[in-house]
Amino acid sequence: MRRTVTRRRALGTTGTILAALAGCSTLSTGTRYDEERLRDIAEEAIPDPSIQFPFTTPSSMIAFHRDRARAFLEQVPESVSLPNAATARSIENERSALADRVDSESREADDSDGESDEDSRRTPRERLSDWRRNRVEAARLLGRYRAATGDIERSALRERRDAIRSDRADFVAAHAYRSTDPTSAVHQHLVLESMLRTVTRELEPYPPFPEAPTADPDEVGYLVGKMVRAEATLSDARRYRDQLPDDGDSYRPAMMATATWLRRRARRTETALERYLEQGVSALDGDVSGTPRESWFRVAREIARDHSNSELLDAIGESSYAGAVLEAGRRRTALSTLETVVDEIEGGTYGGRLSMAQLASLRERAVSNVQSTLQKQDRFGRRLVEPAVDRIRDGSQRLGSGASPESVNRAAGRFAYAEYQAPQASAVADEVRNLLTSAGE
Amino acid sequence: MPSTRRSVLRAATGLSSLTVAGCQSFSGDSEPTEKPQTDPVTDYTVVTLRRADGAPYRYTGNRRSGESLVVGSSDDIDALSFPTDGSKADEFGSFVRETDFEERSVLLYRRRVSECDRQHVESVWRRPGSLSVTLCRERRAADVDCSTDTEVEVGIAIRVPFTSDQFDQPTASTSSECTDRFGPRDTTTEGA
Repeated sequence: MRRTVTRRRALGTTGTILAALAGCSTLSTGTRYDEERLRDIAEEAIPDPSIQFPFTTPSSMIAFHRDRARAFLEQVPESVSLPNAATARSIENERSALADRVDSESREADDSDGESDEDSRRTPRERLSDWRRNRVEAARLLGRYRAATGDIERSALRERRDAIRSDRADFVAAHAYRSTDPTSAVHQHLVLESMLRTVTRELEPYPPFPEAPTADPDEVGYLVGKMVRAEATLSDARRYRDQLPDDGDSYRPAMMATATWLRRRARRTETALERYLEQGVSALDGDVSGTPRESWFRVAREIARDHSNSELLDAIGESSYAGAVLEAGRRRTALSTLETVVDEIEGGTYGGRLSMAQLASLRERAVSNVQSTLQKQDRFGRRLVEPAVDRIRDGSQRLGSGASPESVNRAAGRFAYAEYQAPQASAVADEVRNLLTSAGE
Repeated sequence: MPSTRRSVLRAATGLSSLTVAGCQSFSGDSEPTEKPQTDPVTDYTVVTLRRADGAPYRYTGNRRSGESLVVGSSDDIDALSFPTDGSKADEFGSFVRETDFEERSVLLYRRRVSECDRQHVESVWRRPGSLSVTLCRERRAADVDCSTDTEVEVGIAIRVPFTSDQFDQPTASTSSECTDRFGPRDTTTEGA
């Protein structure tokens, strides 16, 4: 924390006094901005930080889910006979709707070999997700039907769930975090860790199997659906992992070291910022109310607090190595940004009412800084700059919905955050990459 | 009965209060907002009556409809009649009649549902001067013989810990799904 920017701080203090003397302290109730011009500023483009999915999705993965979905569906008759006619009709209706969807999506898939207009809009990864969902819904329907007809046992479900749990443990034991380079390693294994979290969640034995399945077919269907989602997700994770090179380096130790180093560096920054994090705006020199600075600081503080040390320790403790690296980078970026924001505010930046031109220019600078980070074609940078993009989007929405000085100040605070966050994201992305490389050597 | 009234109010608005009337809530740097006091009422009792032939109660008073009633006095009871053909019917009528109207009142509902469905009380909420009740519908077990073409009448009596002068006519809504469907059934509030 630089606490010796005396010239800036002196200027800032002077500026605040002059602004107050000039009547600017009443800006919170000041003149409203021109709504049309605000909308023009709000409608300017918002940068896109999306990154390419780090695996390919072959058609065989999609076909696997499709075959399973059809097999489940075929085990539910079109005409259901049950004492409870409403339950029977409900299962029939659900089967009919799902069969229509499966047929329709199957036709689209067949057509897509010839690049039909409809299906070409869906990426292979999206189609995989569609068919995984169809498979889960067909399994849920079958579970519901079997419960309604008294043809399902608690023990069968438990045994199948235990088998998937065992497969998951085998996957984790063999998960060596191999890849061709440290950046790819983090992005590929982030995907696998996320899929494993889904598997873990879906294997949780809740809710318990009902005492009387015929009284709760929906509940049994839900349980079967959860189990099949775990199974399907684990199978997809295996297929993605198989795309990684067997002879690639294992980046698990490098990820662990990087997350820990970043955590310690961020901890030092956090200690220096303690009073700002604890006390909020009252810790700042001077009164920031009624200016963009108030929002600017609040946003920076809120994001820094969202990425706490304990959350990062949780990620490290859960052996989510790739996730820990990303979270450590986010935390480092958030704290470094807060440090810069405090320095700038106490140096007098954005202390008074912004003119329309100043507001437009502020948003342009925010977008330009984000674009600079994105143009480096660095996947860490793209991930770490996401909070800046979110604030540009949020600020733009606020400009489109309110013309009061308070509303504009809040939008300006968000643009200012993005302006100062993007260079930090870029710097931390370089830092993460360098640490990963150093740790891997 | 001042002390009783106070204790009744405490029962409903004590520790379970979600928000406090007049308090301002702040979120981030958003505008402070005022929220009305809304409390879940948990200490209510429900008795239901399911009737395949005939109404669960009849109302002869001067209100426009007997579908939703507040029963808060012996005068209100005089305008009601209950079936007496069976122990469930007796229990339903007795529950309403034997309420201590010095401390409590009964919210009475009559609904038509499919023979294959059951009606539950999902929740009761209290705001200053008003109550809101959410009923929910649930499918009966798959091995219960029933037809989708047949409807039955269901009577629902909810005994709440407030006298009828403490609130206006409650609002009632019906959800097509009971959100607490997972887990053991609460047999004390079994639906009809």
